[in-house]
Amino acid sequence: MYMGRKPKADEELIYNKLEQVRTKAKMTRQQLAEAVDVHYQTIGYIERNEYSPSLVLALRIAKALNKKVEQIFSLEDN
Amino acid sequence: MTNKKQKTIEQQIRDLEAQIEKLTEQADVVWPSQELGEKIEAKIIKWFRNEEFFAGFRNTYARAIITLLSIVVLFGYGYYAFMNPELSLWYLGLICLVLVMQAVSVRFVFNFEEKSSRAYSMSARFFSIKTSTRRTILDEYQLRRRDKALQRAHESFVGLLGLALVGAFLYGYQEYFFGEKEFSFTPMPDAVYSFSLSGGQFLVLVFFISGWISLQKYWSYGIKGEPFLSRSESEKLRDS
Repeated sequence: MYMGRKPKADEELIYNKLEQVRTKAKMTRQQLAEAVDVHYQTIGYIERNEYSPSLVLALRIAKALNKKVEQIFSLEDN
Repeated sequence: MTNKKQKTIEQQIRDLEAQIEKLTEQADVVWPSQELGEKIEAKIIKWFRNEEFFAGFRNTYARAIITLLSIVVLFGYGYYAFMNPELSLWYLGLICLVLVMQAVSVRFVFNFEEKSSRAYSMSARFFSIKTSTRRTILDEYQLRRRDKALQRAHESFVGLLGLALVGAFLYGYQEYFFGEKEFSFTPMPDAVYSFSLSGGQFLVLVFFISGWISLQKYWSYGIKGEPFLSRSESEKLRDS
């Protein structure tokens, strides 16, 4: 039951293992953010599944972490 | 014979194109000063993007206070100024103040960057200068956050406009809806509107409408300053 204005779930979320992969790669959020040219908070939002990145950003993140994009992002929560 | 001649001309054109391309590449010299300028620009943008001061007051009490303050100013002080029209300029000043506060609280102050960088790349192309990768202060999350807020503001306006029209209809035909007169669509009776506004009151009304239009997009960021749903919120919504 929602109180107040009911928000719309108009964006499908993409699940990711970004935090695990980034920690494994021994990178901080700040370092990854600089590598992919975004604000470091944006990395946090993606890691907490609060924001689904664009395909370009997902590809850039995968490249920065030396992984394939499907190794980090998926449609199902694995 | 003609075919062969045509092929030779086509080949010559291709060779010339290749030469032009090669010459253009050679002309794209990166001057040391240009490189230095790009480095400085990159550093400034990086500072703007990562500096906590510009991160806005998202998820803070400050953001909630600014939102409440803007509501009080627009509606509360608006009503007071309407009753005391000599305060209309104070009303305008206060609206401007809460607008600036709202703008700072959601990092909206850097909204101009998109247009200027596009203009820069166009002029650069015109002068055949090699342009570097476009850097922007707002990243894609912040841009989408802004777009989402504008979308919500648009939805609110559509709703409010509908309400205002219904209100105007009811007001105009109040004698028919709430009085003793009988309403009929054939012939449609005239709606009656009668009110008088002083010059000051008219100004207050203009400031109120323009203030509302300007503030609505900031209110649409929500109290938290985040127009996106969190995962738990989204799942809750799906389950409900």
